[in-house]
Amino acid sequence: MATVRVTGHIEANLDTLFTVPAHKKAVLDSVDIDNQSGAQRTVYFRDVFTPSASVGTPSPAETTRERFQTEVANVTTAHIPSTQLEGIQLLGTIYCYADATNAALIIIVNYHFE
Amino acid sequence: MITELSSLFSRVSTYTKPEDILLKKGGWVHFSDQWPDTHRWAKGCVFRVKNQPILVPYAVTRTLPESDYADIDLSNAAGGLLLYPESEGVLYQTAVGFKPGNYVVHTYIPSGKYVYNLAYPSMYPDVTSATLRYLGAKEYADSPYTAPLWHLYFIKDMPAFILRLYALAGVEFERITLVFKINKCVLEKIENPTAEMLDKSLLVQWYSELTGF
Repeated sequence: MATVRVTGHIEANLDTLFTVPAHKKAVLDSVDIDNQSGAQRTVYFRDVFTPSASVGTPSPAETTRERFQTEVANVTTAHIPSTQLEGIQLLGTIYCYADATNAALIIIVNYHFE
Repeated sequence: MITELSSLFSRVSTYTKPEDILLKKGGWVHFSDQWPDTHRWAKGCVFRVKNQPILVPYAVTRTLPESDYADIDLSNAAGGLLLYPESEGVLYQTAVGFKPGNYVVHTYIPSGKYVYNLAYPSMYPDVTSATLRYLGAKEYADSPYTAPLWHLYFIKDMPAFILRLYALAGVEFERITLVFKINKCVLEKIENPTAEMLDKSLLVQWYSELTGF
């Protein structure tokens, strides 16, 4: 299992959490969000990948999918366990962003590849 | 050309590594007499594995949209995965394992000629059919990548195995990963095989022997 920590940034300046290696999928084990930013915040995870050529789509383009979103009240630490993250499979480069840039919004993600 | 073990084996594989069920030094291999003359060195002959085989792992992945498919050619043809030997007297026994996912795999040899059909004329694998896409389709449980049970056999210049990977509906995109364990065997011809050798050797059939009944 691996861990990555970022602080909240808006979508235009999003953070890279990790990139899923070839021949693997990524699974989230837990997400912890400490929001001391002064307001309720929304945190998003984005998955960007390029599919393989297929019969239906011989020349695929880069694809973006929003995989996760949660709201955290001000002065709150949210813990989202694996039981609430089951079924989220990540394929490409995983980004994190929030509805505001604030160093007091801390996001810690535990994940593994399989 | 293809061998499979009972799925029962997958339940005891905790105690058996995939390497334990592959050809080893001294193992006997018998090519059927249906192999064409273009493979005269192997046709109808019995061989002993001369070396302690070398196991080469490899993997291939395709990320496909749901209800769509892609073919992969395992041979050394242009655009193929290049998994075949380049010398006569060499056999690559290749265990193919599947990672879990919402997909099925169809097998052709050569391109367009399906292996896992049934006798009735319309009972052949077809990914465009809502029912026939499951006919003869391999999936994770048939050969888990941690204990692969499905073996393909490659010799130099033999027809291409084509695997058609089909992402089933309901997942939007599926990452399909096949894990290969290629057991590289150097073969030594046995000029006068005994009845026991013929009886106990691994039979490698020509692809036309796998269908038509």
